[in-house]
Amino acid sequence: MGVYDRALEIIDLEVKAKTVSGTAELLNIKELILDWGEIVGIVGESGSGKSILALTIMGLLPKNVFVTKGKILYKGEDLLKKDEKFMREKIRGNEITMIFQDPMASLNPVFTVKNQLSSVIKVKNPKLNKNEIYKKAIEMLDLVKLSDPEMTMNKYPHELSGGMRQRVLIAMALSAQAKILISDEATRALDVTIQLGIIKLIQELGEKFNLSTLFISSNMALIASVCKKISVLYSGEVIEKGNTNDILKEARHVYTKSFLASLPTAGKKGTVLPILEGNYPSILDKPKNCIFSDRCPIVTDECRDKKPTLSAISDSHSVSCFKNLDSDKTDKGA
Amino acid sequence: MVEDKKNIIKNNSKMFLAIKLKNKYNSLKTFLKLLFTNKLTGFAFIVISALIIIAIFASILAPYPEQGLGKVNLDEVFQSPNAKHIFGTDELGRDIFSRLLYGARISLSISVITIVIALIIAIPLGLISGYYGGFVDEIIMRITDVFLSFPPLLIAIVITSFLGPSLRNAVIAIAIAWWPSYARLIRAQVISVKQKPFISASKCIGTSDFKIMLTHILPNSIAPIIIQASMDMGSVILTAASLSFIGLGAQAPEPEWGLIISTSRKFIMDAWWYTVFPGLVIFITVLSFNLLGDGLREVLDPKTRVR
Amino acid sequence: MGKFIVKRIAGGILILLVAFTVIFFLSRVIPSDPAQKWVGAHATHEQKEAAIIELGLDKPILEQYVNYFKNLLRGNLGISIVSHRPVSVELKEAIPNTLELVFISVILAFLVGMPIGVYSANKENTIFDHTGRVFSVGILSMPTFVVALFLQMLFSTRLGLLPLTGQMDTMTKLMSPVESVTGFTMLDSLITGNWVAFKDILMHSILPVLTLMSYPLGLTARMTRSILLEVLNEDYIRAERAYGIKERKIIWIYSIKNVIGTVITVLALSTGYTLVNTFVIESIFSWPGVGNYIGRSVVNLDYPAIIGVTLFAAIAYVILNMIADIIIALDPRVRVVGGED
Repeated sequence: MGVYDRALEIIDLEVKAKTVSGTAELLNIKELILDWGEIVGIVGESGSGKSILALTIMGLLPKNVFVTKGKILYKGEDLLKKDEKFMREKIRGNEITMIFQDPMASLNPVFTVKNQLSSVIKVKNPKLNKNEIYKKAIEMLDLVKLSDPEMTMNKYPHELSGGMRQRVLIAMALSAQAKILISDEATRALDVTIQLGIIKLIQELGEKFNLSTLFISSNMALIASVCKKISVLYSGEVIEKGNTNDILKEARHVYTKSFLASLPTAGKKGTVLPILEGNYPSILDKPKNCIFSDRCPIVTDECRDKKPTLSAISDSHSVSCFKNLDSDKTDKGA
Repeated sequence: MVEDKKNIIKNNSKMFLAIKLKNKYNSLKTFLKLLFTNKLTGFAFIVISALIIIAIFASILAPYPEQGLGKVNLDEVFQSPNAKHIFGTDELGRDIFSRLLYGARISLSISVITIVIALIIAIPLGLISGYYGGFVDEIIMRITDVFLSFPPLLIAIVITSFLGPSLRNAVIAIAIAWWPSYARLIRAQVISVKQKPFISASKCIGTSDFKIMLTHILPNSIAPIIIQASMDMGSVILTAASLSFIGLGAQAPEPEWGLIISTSRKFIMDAWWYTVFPGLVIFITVLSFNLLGDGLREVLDPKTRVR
Repeated sequence: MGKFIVKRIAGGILILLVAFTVIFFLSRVIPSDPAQKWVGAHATHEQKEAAIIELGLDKPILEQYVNYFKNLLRGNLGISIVSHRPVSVELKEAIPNTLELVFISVILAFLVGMPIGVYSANKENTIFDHTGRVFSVGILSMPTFVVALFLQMLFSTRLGLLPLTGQMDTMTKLMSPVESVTGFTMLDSLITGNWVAFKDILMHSILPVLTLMSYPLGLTARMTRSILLEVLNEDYIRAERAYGIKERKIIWIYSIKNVIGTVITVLALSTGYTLVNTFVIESIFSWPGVGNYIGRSVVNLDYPAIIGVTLFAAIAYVILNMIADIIIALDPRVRVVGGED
């Protein structure tokens, strides 16, 4: 996969939003790496900045949101320095593509599937003629396992079910043979029974096309079942990251632990799920100390004074907390 | 002892009133602040305040009050704007500036009276329609359908031409053309309010329908109608001026803006000021009302964009 | 779909029936004396009695009502009190002239207003957008008659570029009269290849058209902008961008189709407003259309003529509303009832 060993490298990214009541800090990510062929999970509750991260990579931020510093490296080039035209023609669709969270709203209601799918295919393959485009479109719909591609082609979005729409969207997303896929809560709006099918499809197609995937979700169980690596996002910052096993078995951050504890498991029948006291920090004037200090049950004076940085506790696992580093028995080097 | 209690109550109620007033004052302050965040809305607010003051004090502010009301001054016909007559004079030598000041009084009172009449028709009908529903509702709504199928100006033209041209009839005609939209609005409000639990509670303790409508439903559904009504001021002024312009509204020598412009047409070749100043005055007035309406809508409901 | 159209047409006819009835009773109930008007102020008592019988005013009101409808169906709108000619004939001459003005104005307003709105939305909060918004609010706040007079002052009396009033110069009327083919004078001059007359009518129509198009222009620009801004914030537009579709295609094809239904409705409604505006401004330009006709009738309280014009406006209005509703119903989102989640 080329000379670049990293598919996507996000370094020191800071994203802010201008609102009526002041400037809001949406993202502050020191480092996030996606290797070729890998599936990396980003987990966090709503409002943690997951979707903003996806949109920042795509260069599709809303008008009042802007990147204040940092780099997003793709094939050695900083995407944040590229202009709209370059992003549109060279990146979006054929290098990096995206599946959105709401298939109901993400298809244009007044155009048929055929029209929308063909125009995506045409943009990236301008030399194809009408017949070839049609063939390709059918092929794509077949690939996403829609039972009757020919019929689906002539339907308007409102005539399709949620699951079918998401499949159509995946077909659109993949029809330009992108290298990187960002899946932003692709199954959130779907019924639980359909979710699994879509997840499997994304996994399968990922392997087939050798995609590197950034899998964003608020569902820890889902993330854990799909991804090899996980980053936990809290209020726009990565507070813990590691291999899936690290996170599931040896989570260090109180937040991650409470996130995991809230997963209902078969063996824990009858236990009361823990509730984390306190509220999410306001993004308007973020504390200069540890962003979690207000809610942390094991908070110390140090946490209220200084801001912890993401430090490694093993080769694959790092956490952003003073306390858990110090009290850690296996590794005190960091 | 009793005296003491009375005093306490008295003092308390005084305090209560003071707090209430202060709250009112504070919310007014934030409201104005919001209005002035948009410069255009602020400008409109100032213009309209000035207009209201002009309308009230026209007789003091006008340099030639008698001419404003129609006194002829044949010594000074068709004077172009000068220090004595800043907007010039008309074919009867009257000071156009003074007449326009008096015109503000007419235009503003026309629009207020028209909207009040329209509301007087619309509120009972809308209340009954929304509260009782069923057949009565169906009938009233079909009637509003017919009215709403035609532009208010057309309805007003037809009615005034039957009633006979005069300012009073123009007001009646515009009110008749205008009420259905308010009736619709009130009905919609009533339907949403009548499902609230406190209405069922009142019914349970045996309050009469009439009292429920008057004391519970109306106060809870009136706000949007008042807002809509204040936003309609500009359009009503425009409609009234148009009626006067085609000769169905105000009659000479009333200093109505539309009528002044209508008269000025005959002299368009020679006396530009006669048309230009009244035209600009109507334009700025209606513009201010429209801008204020837009601003109000944005402040009160930030979700709906300016339409 | 067919069922919807039939239902809509039936509704339109019902509204017209109610409107006609209201107009009839207005004309009979309101204290005015048609018979006196008919014979003039100085007529004798006998003349007036005769007129009452001639106009059918002695019959019971219900019979009058039935007769009124019978006459309407026959296209008989009565005789004008002023000219003593049939109102239907006079209207037949006037209507095409008005419709010509209205259609040209509305189409031009659409062609200019829509791109302004689209461009404004696309360049939200730039100088172009701000100017466009102030311009459209301004234009909507300008009474049509003031627009008309200001245009006359600028282009006719000041600059002398365009004729002040009328549809044709008297010379043109005499030297190269327009043969009547369709009744639409400008169209006829074009069809018959009467270039002298065509050019003359064109010059005369510039000011009325500019005046009439101001309102729909402002409205179209404003509406297009605000709806388009909403659409551009939709998820599907973001998805289209994410898949690399060209911005121009997104704006001019993918979002426009979502907007166009609403814009066309606005347009149909503003066509109605424009029609009523001709009532105010045709007399300013002495344009021989319906507006001029009703202006004259109103001054003389010529009731048959006023009723005739009102009926015409009512029919035109109901038809316009009907067209707008049917166009909206063609939208695939509306087509399947209950198809949305």
